[in-house]
Amino acid sequence: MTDLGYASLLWALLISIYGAAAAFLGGRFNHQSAWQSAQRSLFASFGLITVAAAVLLYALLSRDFEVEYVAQYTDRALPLIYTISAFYAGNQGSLLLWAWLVSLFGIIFLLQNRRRLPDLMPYAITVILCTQVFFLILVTMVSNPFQRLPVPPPDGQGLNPLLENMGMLFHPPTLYLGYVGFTIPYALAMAALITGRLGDEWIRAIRRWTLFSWLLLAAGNLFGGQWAYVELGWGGYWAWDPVENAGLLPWLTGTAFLHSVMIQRRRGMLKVWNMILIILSFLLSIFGTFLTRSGVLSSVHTFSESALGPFFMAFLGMGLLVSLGLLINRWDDLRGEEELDSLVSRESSFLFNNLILVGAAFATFWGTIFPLISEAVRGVKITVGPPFFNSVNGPIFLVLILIMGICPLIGWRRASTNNLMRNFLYPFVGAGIVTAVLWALGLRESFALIGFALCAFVLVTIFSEWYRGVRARHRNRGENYLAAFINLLGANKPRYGGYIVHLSVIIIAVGVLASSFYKVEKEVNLRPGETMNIKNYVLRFEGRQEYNTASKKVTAATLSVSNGEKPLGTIVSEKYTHRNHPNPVTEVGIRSTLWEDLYVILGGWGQDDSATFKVLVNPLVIWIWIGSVLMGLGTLVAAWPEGKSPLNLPEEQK
Amino acid sequence: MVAHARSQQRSTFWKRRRFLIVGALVVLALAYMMYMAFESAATYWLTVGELMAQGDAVYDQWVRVGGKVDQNIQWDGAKLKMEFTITDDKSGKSLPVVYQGVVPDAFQPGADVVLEGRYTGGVFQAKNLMAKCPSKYLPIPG
Repeated sequence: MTDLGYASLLWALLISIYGAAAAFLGGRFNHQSAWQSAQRSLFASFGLITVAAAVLLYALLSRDFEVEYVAQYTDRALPLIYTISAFYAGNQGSLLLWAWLVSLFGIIFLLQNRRRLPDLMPYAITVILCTQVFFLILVTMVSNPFQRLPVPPPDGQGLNPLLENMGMLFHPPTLYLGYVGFTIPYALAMAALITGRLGDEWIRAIRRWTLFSWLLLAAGNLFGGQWAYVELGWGGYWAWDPVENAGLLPWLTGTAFLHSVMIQRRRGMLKVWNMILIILSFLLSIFGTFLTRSGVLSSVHTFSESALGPFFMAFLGMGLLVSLGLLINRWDDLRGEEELDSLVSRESSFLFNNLILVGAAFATFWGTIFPLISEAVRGVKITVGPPFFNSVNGPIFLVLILIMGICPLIGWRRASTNNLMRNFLYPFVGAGIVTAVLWALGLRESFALIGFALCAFVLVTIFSEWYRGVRARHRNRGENYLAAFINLLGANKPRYGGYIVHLSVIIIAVGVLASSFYKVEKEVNLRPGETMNIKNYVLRFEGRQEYNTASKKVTAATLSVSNGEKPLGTIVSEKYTHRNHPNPVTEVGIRSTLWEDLYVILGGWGQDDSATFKVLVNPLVIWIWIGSVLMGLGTLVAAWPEGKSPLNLPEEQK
Repeated sequence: MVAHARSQQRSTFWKRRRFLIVGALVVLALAYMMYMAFESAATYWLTVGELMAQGDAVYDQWVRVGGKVDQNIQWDGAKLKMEFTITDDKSGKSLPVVYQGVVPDAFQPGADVVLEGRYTGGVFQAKNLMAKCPSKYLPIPG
């Protein structure tokens, strides 16, 4: 069976190489039969990679321990759902998944656009097939998922118990979909550069792909944060770990692209800049895959060195050179059609938003790879921890929020003082009221106060924007307020979807600000019957039980919670010890409310009955997850197809 | 005509220059922020051997040290205090460590750990403890 899988991959590799060449020649010499043949190679290679993936999945499900990959990541006791997730638990399977996804996306993209963009598609498919070739080289030459063991073990090593969690089921594939998704906009951008067809058509064709990839990257990062929060048991959701940063980087440049592309569509400006952003997003997606897969930077979850590094470096270097070469070649054609008019205009607020987003990406990139650079240059490893990322990105994100509030308030081209005064009044009042209330409640940290004030500012902006639109519809068309609101969203989905996403960002920001500045933390050693106080809570340690399940030993500590007057229920905090893994796994006990999470980690226990706990009260954390859901909804609204009527052409403008 | 064209050219030039100046200011501000944050956050990442070799140069400085946890961990549950030693495979040197707090799941003899803290008078006072999995486990992204 495994021979079939490996042979399929080899054939897919050969066919993809042929297809890339045929697509390029088909485009270059307008040779229809070469282009037809290239399309068939894309389909054929997709079929072959699918066969290989099916073989690997079958090997996993049938526990074929002759296959090294299966023996490494599964054992007989592993539940079905996690057996499927073992597909992407290691390098080999993950890279195979990448190759399969790139192929699948390539086909969908081809079917969408081959009639609409006959000149661009051959080159776009060339780029997609080249990316596919790269990943197929990795899975056939360096990191073969079908590697066999000389002597099959009686049972596998099992999946790392940390990964047996629902968050981990979704987190890697969503992140991958996001990474892979950026290949499509990049491919079409390259096609536009090669052909010189730099007009609106390619931008329009990738809009939804970019939104899709952007959303999945966001979701991937948020799933990862959620997993870290409930599973890693250190009380937080984001640690500026290199692997986390890897997912954030293309998201930041992608966010910048989604905004600046509006300027290009409306005013025909920033064309070079948009190209640079799309190139960066693609290369950072590959770089992100590289960081997580190669283990080049030590991190909470990356500890293995592998031979992948040089291959990724070569591919990244080639991608960078070719992209820049094409960009420079078309430099003159990419000149803006118009000039920026005024510093105080919507355009320039987009420009600053871009500058700052790219600045955040650069700072994060720099901090992430600094240990590598310092070791190469000076021979000493110097690292910057979370303090660096927080103190750089914290203010940057505050400025972003500020721009998010200001941007819709100022007009295109040039804003008049009158216009500014009128529009800024209510948001300013809102921010002032929130600051005063928070101050009265005893909040004194200036960063947090500024942050909350800015969030209030943006909220008022968004809501007054909605209110104005709804009121106008209500007056002019006599719709009731709810209908008016829904129709308003429908009338300009990109714009109002964007506002919903902004709203979700604010909700997430409030959660992040509150939980970073106002969490309370205590470590205690308790004997059964003893109590501890944290904030308004009184926790009483009731006792510890141990029991066995099929695959693990569970140690569970029960605590009853009250607020000093009335009981609020119990929290169970556990540690699992899996049969095949030496490390225990913490199962955090969380009592979640809209206001705050009471978070209990069972640290350890002594020979006597006492146990150690780390207890945290994390305010407003649930708002981060609520905001995430809203972010998804907003993106869906923004990406929802417009009606066919020409009057409904997408317009992001006022 | 010519004068008009020239004045228009000049005005675009000025417009552009205004943008360039503001843009440059933003970039400078970002660079300054990065520099300041870097200065305060940059930490040496040493092996046990390197830490020992540095001697007084790193006395009481905030550093990051990596090594393998040895057998024989002393754990005082009531005080949440842990004493152990870590060894670096390359130099064979070992370092006594004191850590206060709850340890991560992967912490155990044989695990690779990264410690952050200060080295004072023969003992490393660890404030942060990060443990790596000893098993051959290839990670999932994220």
